[in-house]
Parts: sequence; C-alpha cells; structure tokens
Amino acid sequence: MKKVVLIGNPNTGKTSLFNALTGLNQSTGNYPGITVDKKKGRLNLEVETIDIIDLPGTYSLEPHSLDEEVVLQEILNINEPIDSIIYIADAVNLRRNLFLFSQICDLEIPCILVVNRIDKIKKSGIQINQQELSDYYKCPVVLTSITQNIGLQKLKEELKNCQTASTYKCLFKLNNADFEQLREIKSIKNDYWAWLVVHQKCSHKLFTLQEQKHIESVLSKTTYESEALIKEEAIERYTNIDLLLNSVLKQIDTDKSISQKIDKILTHKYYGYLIFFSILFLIFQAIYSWASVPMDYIDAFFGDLSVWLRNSLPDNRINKLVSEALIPGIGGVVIFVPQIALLFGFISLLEQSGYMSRVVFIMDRFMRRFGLNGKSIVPLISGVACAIPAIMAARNIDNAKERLLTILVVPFMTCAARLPVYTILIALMIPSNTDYGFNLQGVVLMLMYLLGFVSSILASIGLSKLIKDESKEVFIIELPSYQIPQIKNLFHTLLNKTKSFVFDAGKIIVAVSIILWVLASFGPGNAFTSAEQYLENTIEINNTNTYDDALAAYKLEHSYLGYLGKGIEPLIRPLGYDWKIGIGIIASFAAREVFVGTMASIYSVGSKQEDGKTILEKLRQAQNSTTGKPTYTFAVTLSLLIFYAFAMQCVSTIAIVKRETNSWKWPIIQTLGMTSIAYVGAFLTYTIFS
Amino acid sequence: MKNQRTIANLNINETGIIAGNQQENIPLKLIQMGCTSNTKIMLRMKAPSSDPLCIQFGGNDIALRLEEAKKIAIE
Ligand SMILES: Nc1nc2c(ncn2[C@@H]2O[C@H](COP(=O)(O)OP(=O)(O)OP(=O)(O)O)[C@@H](O)[C@H]2O)c(=O)[nH]1
Ligand SMILES: [Mg+2]
Repeated sequence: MKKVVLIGNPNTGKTSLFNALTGLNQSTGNYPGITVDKKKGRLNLEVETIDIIDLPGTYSLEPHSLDEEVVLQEILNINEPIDSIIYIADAVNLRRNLFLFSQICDLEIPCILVVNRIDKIKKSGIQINQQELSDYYKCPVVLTSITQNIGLQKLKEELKNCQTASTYKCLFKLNNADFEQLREIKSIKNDYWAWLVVHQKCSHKLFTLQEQKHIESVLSKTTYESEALIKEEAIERYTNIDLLLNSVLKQIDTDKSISQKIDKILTHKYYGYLIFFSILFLIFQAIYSWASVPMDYIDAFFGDLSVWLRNSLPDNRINKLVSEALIPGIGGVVIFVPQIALLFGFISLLEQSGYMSRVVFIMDRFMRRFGLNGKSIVPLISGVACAIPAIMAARNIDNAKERLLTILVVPFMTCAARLPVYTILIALMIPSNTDYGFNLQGVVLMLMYLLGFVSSILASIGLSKLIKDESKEVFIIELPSYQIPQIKNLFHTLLNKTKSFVFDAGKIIVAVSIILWVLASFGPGNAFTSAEQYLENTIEINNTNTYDDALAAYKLEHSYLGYLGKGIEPLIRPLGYDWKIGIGIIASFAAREVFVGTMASIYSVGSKQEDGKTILEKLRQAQNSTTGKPTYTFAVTLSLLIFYAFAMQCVSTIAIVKRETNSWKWPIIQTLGMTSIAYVGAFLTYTIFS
Repeated sequence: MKNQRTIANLNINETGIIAGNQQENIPLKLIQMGCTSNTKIMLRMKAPSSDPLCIQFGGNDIALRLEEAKKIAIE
C-alpha cells in the first residue's frame, strides 16, 4: 500500500487534516506539540487505498526534542520508504513554514504543498501567488482551510495524480570531499541525505552494520562543528526563501492586536497567576459539584442492576460472578465517567484556546527553580487526567534532563484513576455539606491535587541533584494566537479520551474482578468447604439473615483471597488497615481505580443483606473483623488517602516510563521510591490521627 | 563590546534589528525559525522578572529565556 506522511511545523493543522482525510478523531489543539507520536490511518481514493501517517510537528529536520526526532526517523527509515509527503504550511507564517519545506524538497520525495488556514489570510490581507510557488518547488500547491472544509476535495484529486518520482532536483551541495564519500552507500540518495547522516547520529542505526562502519570511518577522519554548519545551512535557506517570497507574497502585517490585548491580562504579573489559579480552582469545583448528580444516578443504577440480575438469572456460580463481581466492578469505573469527562474537557479547552502556551510562558521561571521547565506544566496538568499521555507529552521538552525529571515526577500528580478512590474516601471522612457557600469535599479534593503537585515539585528538587545535565538545548516556545475553541473538537477529544479510559480501565477491572471472585469463592481445606458445620458449633441460629451473613463472612475469611489478605495484614496493620483493605491494596497494584470496585465486591460477597446498596453505604457499614468497630475511621481513611496519593500503582505507567526513558533503572527507582513514601506517609498519618 | 544593547534591553513594543554576525549567539532553533542576523524583531511581552521574554518576528511570537536573550545583540 502507498505510504503518505503528513509533515509540517507544529500547530499548522496536520492532525486536523489527518482526521479530515481518514475519518479518525485524533486530538488536536492550539498548542505546538499536541501530537508526539506517529499515528496511522487509511484513506480510500476510489482508485486505491493509501496509508496516511500523522507525525509530530517540527521546525526543521535537525531535531531538538524527541517528538521532532520521530519525524526524522520516519523519513530516514529506508526499509519502509515514503511514497509521498503532504507538507502542511501555515499561510499566516509562510516564511518559516517554507524553511522545513525546502529541506523536505531536497529529499527528492514527491510532495504536495498544502497551504492551510487560508481563512485567516483572507482576513489579514495576505495574497499568495500559488502558481509561482508550484513552479519553484515543482510540486502541486493546494490552498485549504480545514476548519471550513475548503480545498480538501482538490487535495484528494492531487493525491490521486501524485507523481511517483520527484521532479525537484536537490539544490543542496555538501562542498566537502570527506562527506562526499558517504555517497558510496546506495541508499544515501543525494547530498542532502548525506548531510542528514553526517549530523544526525540517531540515523546511523538504520543502516546495515557494514554501512555503519563506513559512515563511522568517514566521519572520524574529519573534524567539523555540526552546529555551526547547520546554522550556515539555515541562513542560506532563508536567503533563498526571502528571494522567492518577494514575488510570491504580498503581505500586509498580520493583525495580532486581539491576542496582544488578551495577553496583557493573562500574562500580567499578578492577574496572570490569579487567573491561572482561579481556573484550576473552578475546574476542581466543577468536577466535584457538577458531576455529583449523574454520579448518583449511575451508582444507583448499578446497584439496582446487580440486584435485578441476581434475581432474574438462574441461581448458580455464574449468577454470583456477574452480580457480585463483574457488575460492581464495572460500576466502579463507569461512575467516574462524568468527572473524568469534565477533566478531559477542561484540559482540551485550555489547549484549544491557546492559553496553555501562556501558562508555559508565565510558569517557566518558577518551574526552573525545581529543575523543571515551563513546558513541564503541560505533562503535569495532563497528568491530572492520566500519567500515560502525560509522560508521552514530555517528549516535547527539548532539554534531556528537564524531560527526564518531568517523566519521573508526573506520577505524583493526581491522575483520574485516583479520583474514584479519593472521592469515596473523602465522602467517608466528610459529610457532604454545602453550608459554607462552597463544597467542603471539593476543597479537600483540591488539597489532594495540591499535595500531588507539591510533592512532584519536591521530588524534582531532590532528583535534579542526582541527574547530570548534558543537553545543550535551550527553552524556546511559540505562542500561537488565541482561538475560539471548536465544540466539535472538544466533543471528539472528550469522547475519545473518556472512551479509552473506560475501556482500558474496564479491561483490567473485569480481569481483576474475575480473579478476585475465583479466589473468594474457593478456599483451601475444610474451613471453607464445610463452613456450615464450623458455624453451627459457634453461633446460635435464631435469624436466617444473620446466619447467612455470618456464613458468607466466614467463607470469605477462609477463602484463598481471605488468606491472601491476612497474609499481608501484619505489613499493613501499622497503617491501620485490616485484611479486607489489604486485598484492595494488592488488587490495585494493577491499577488504582480497581480499589473501589474491589472493595465494593468484597463487601457484597461478605454480606447478603446489603444488596442494592451503593458502594459508599457498604463501606460506611463495614466493620473491622477483629475489633468490631467501623473499619473506616477518620485516621484509617486519611491514611489510605495518603497511601493512594503516593503509591506508584499502575502497571501501564511503569511500562511507559520504561519505554520513554529506554531503561529499567528509572521506572524501578520511581516505583520503589514512591511506594516507600506512600508507606511511611500513611504510617505517620495513622499514628498522628488515631 | 560592553555596552552593546541586546534583546533583553528592549522595551515592550519596541522594535530592533539583530546585529550582524550574531550567528554564534542565537540558538540554533531560533535561527531555524527564521530569526537570524539583520532580522527585525519586536519585544512583545515579558513574563514576571523579565524572564522569559516573548519576541515577535515575521508573524511569529516566540518565547525565550533571559539568559539567551542577553547574548543576542541588536543594532
Ligand atoms: N483558522 C483555522 N484554524 C485551523 C485550521 N486547521 C486547523 N486549525 C486549528 O489549528 C490548531 C492546530 O491544529 P492541529 O491539527 O492540532 O495541528 P498539528 O499540526 O497537528 O499540531 P501539532 O501536533 O502540535 O504539531 C487547532 O486548534 C485547529 O483547530 C484552518 O484551516 N483554519
Ligand atoms: Mg498534531
């Protein structure tokens, strides 16, 4: 199948075009660096179907950060050659966009130049001479506005007729006899390819071992200053572009006055921060109060559903599995959809409006003190939704040390998976009460988020002393003009992210629920199988309900699961937990959100009477099996809250940290470190408050 | 030259032209974005404590840190 890649500067509309062509719904946003990984889609062109690949944005083929390196890797990958390139340029900023395009043309791969955002240039009075551009670069030029659906049909036509070989001849000359020896390698097509191989070490591994030896021997013979040479290349390219643009572009200065006015307020010395923190406050209040109504309905719905299923399905083991494990487990995730959707929605709004890069701008100096970077704010804020995309987003940070630090501290941020746990625990601690004019539970929740942020900052200070700074990359970021967020984009982003959260979490939860249920339904030895006899000897039976309760509880205690919980009880007793909580903690090492569902099913296995009760009610009534007092006292609940704030309990995060840092060292340090902090923190909390 | 003015000395909304032979002082990424010697730039805004700064050239608004801005001389 033909392979077509989308290349262009950051924030020019590559992903928007990708979505329009493939019908997929990848996230877009008005922030340079939304896409950090390649994404594949299909386009049906009647005559043939082609593979379309969306890539991160970059300003040049010499990468400064990891997301930019993805682009270079894709281009240089000679084993899966690119058939053609769709280059997306921003019409409002043609000069800078043509710089990367001139590099792309030198690759001699057939391309189509898409000049996007023409809706903007009509307003600002720029005129583009399309014919002249096309003659100069010897490729079709299409003017588009993706948001207004202009030019997309024309682009598809051009894709159908796309040349198989480039007619553009590389203008770039190496002018260096040593480097020219690289041309002996067949897959190095021309001088510009050779140039990329000279300066980009990461490209070498794409060649065969023999070729790599040749490259090394050529490069070791000569001494050269890569950066100075690349700067010369850049200056020469801009000289050519300026000559061309004299005749292509009639420009009246772009009007940025609206953005300027907004910036005066949003980046103001005092108001800037005030507004930023007010926005965050608003988000947390909204998550708590707006979401509570649908959450109550969902909770009640799953409670009823499990009763209904229990009564209508034949009474056997499957019935129990479904009504006691699966439904409460799934309900435990679905209930948080309203909160998670709100969170994703707000983050998408911040990105789409262009506000996010202003936050980076005003926070850079503050973050620098802790060894981080203004750009770390984006992973940290999206870490509030989920650590996995957040850690990926750190690719956008140029400086290697600041990037590594960001990756290491992101899991301290309160992710959406902790939200279910926090919500339940906070509700157990504090009666819902809005008498103060604000929601006290919401405030405590916000404090928990603050705790996450503060600990990530503190961790960063500590870790920054351990990591060496070898990167030369400096902090540079583009601030795009403000833009009114598009409801359609917002809706798609929200829907996709929520959907994948629910399904990813759902899969784990269903698996864990089944395992837990099996462990709870079987037990070793006589105590489990002949529980009835054991009980008869100890309990006076005068009421069938209490008898059933006692029987179920006795069985749970003597099941495999019960022994597992009891096994770790000595370890967690100092924190104030009993063996049932122990089971929840063990289960949530796969993923934190499993905790709530696990507790829900443990307490419904444990008691027949409480069917149809909401999770919260079940937990409120839980009693410590040894003391007979309520399990969830203030001290225990707070201690659990602290434990969940710090414990690194997410297998997927560990895996992604391993991949992004390319080592086992960092994920191991991170997991051990965080879990120890969690244990000590929870111990201190329990000791102080009990 | 001790008293050479740099980007960091610009006032907000003041324009300046980057001096010749500044290649070495301008970070590579900025050059690749089109900010080279003799480029006309305007200081668009400053974050608190003047760090980072946001400059405007050819329709771009680009933020850079004070440390880098101090190295780039203007005419
Ligand atoms: N006015 C206007 N805005 C557009 C157009 N096309 C895209 N946008 C907006 O530009 C912003 C960036 O779009 P994306 O598709 O995320 O850009 P990208 O090139 O994938 O960005 P990165 O992945 O960050 O490199 C979004 O807010 C879009 O809504 C257009 O034709 N006109
Ligand atoms: Mg994108």
